[in-house]
Amino acid sequence: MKRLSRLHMRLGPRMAGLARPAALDDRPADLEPLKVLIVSDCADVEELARLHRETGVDATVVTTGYQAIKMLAGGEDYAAAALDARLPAMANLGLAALIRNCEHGRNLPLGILLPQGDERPVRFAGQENAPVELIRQPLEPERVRGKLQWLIEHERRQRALVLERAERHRLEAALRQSELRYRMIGAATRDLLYDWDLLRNTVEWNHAICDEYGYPEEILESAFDFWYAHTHPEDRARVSAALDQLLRGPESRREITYRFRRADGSYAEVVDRGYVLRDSAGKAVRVLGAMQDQSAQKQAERTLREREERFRRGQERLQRATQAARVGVWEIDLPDWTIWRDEQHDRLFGHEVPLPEWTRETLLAHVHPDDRKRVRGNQDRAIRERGSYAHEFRVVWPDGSLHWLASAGRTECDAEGRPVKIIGTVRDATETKAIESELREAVRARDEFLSIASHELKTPLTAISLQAQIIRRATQPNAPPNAIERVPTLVDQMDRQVRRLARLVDDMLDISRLALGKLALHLETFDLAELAREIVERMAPEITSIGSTLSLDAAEPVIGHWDRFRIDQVLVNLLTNAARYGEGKPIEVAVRATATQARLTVRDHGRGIAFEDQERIFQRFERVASEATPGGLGLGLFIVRQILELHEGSIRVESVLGEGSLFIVELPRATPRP
Amino acid sequence: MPPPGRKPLLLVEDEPDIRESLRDLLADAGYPVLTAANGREALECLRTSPERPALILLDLMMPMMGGSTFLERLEQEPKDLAAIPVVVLSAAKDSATRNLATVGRIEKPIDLDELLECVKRYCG
Repeated sequence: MKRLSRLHMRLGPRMAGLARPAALDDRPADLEPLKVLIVSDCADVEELARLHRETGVDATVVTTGYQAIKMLAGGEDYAAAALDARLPAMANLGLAALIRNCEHGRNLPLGILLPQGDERPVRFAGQENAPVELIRQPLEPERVRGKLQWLIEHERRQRALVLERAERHRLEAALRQSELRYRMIGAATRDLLYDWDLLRNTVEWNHAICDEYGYPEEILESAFDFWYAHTHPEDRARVSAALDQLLRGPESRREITYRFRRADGSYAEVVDRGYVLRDSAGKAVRVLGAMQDQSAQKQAERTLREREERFRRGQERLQRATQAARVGVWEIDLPDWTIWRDEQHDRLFGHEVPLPEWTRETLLAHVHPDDRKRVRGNQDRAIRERGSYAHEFRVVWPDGSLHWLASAGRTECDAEGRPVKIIGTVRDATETKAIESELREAVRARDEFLSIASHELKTPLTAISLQAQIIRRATQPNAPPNAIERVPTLVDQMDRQVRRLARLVDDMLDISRLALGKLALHLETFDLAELAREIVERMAPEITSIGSTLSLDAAEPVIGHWDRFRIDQVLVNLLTNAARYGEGKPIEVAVRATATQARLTVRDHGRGIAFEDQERIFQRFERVASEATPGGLGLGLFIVRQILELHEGSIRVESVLGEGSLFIVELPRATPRP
Repeated sequence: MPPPGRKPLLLVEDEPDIRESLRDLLADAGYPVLTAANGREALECLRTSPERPALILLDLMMPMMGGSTFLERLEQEPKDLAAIPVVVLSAAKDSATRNLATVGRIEKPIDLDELLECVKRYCG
């Protein structure tokens, strides 16, 4: 029975998958279902195709040689083909040779179906290219399928082999690629890369072991011992423990930081990132890793940290210094006069809490009206001349108080020379100004003192000089006869002037001692009343000579512990003043005592001292009025007060202009501190 | 004794020793001498003296009224008094005293020969 049918049955991959018998399940999943081409007009081919399909093989049945060649030429890739030798196309096995001529048939395994009795030799061109199986009649579908199945399996094995080879090739290429990448990474990062084969216990290093660590090339492949031996002794235990843990699993990655020795003996601080490879049983077989030398990086980090720290400390120091020095810092952006300033700046203008904004108008509003024009002018000139300025000006604080500020600024220009900024500082100058004024006052007082001193010293000198000249003239032969009679008086006068000169010199020395704190007291116990009596007796002739009188009221002895010489000096000074300003009126001295105090008073009835001058006369170099009231260095009362203060005593004056003055000295009777 | 017809001179000096020594010396040299202890006394003396002095010898630093104030006051006096030549006896070397409206200046300590020569120039 010959049934011509053209069956082209194909099962889609999805259905093929479902229908696939369990035995073929281990086939590589990526393989296409195998296809077989059956070329026959025999009725049994239907059965044959069905049998194939049962085993998941896609069977295509064609009935002529022409159709077969057409299928192959159409690009179909068959695992095997069965050719019925009874077909006209198979006369002299022509179809087989033709198939071998096709691109897709050149290596196609062929089954030749030979009818019973057909004993012709099977020989055709290209036969040896692929397996050829002769299938003799009876052509029972089951047997034919078995034979074809063998061919298919053969082809399958062949194909698997090719695939495996291709896969291996691909893997090798990938490995080569990754090796290359691995080396390039090493070269690019200078990391030391390693491949530790645990089975052989060898370590393969990349070239960094020579280039970066200085080891010879024979180290490129070395025993693990090399690694271990070059790990810093102090780090070995830690590194070993970490490696043990990595090899044991379950983690496959590990990062360890330790010191690894270079060939020159120095140590690199490395971060070692390792990756472990395990076999199917989970046993570690290889460790791949990279060691990154962080020495330079760490050094750079340290340097950066130190630099930042220094900068921060510098900033702090500057801030503390500006605060301590009460210096404010400011910056003016030109030309729009945007002003930045620190907190200290605002404090100097009397704002404990900084103002939200500071403008040029804010500044000028704080500046004393008399100084505004100058402040504005200095700033404008500095900008115009691209220069700097320093000035002092007064500011009025919100509480109304007046303060001196000293400010200095410098103009900064951009590349084109346009002024863009003034930066500067401001500090409190109130104290400086006060000191300056005190200094000026001190210089003025000193100059005045020198002028007075020169006069005071020259007066006795002038007198002495005159007296000496007169005496010389009196002793000359042509002198008037009565001239010699005046000589004893002149000598007395000279004596008095010399004593006066000596007293002036003593005063000046005392001032110098007081200034240096070197005026020492020599304490002794004596009666102040008796001392006063002595002095009054000593001074009486001088005071009488200017038409005044001197009386003493000292009924009781007043015993105390004082410096006799200095207290003498105090009373003489007071009496000299009383004589000088007493206008020839009586002078009264009194000495009194309480339980703890001795009290000595000197009263005159002269011109008196204005209330506003009563404190000033005790200052150094001060006298009530210079020209109209000469006759003293202006040191007397200053020295008196200093002496009394050394005794822990005091002096004060009660006076009414035109009625005279009362000087009151009080001294403690107890021994003052040494 | 002073030669007759000699005009007096006025000595203004606060320091008694100097004043008296100079008075005695000038008297011995034959000059009639009027004395004053300060500017105020000197003005008083000029106003009351029957004879106008030919010269004023003036100390500067004196109580009550110093030499500078005396000179200012003297200028305001009647012309015959204001015209009297003044020689300053000065201890100070500062320039302020040099601008005074005076004809001469004798520095302290005083040289007697210099003083007598100066007095001779104005009083004969």
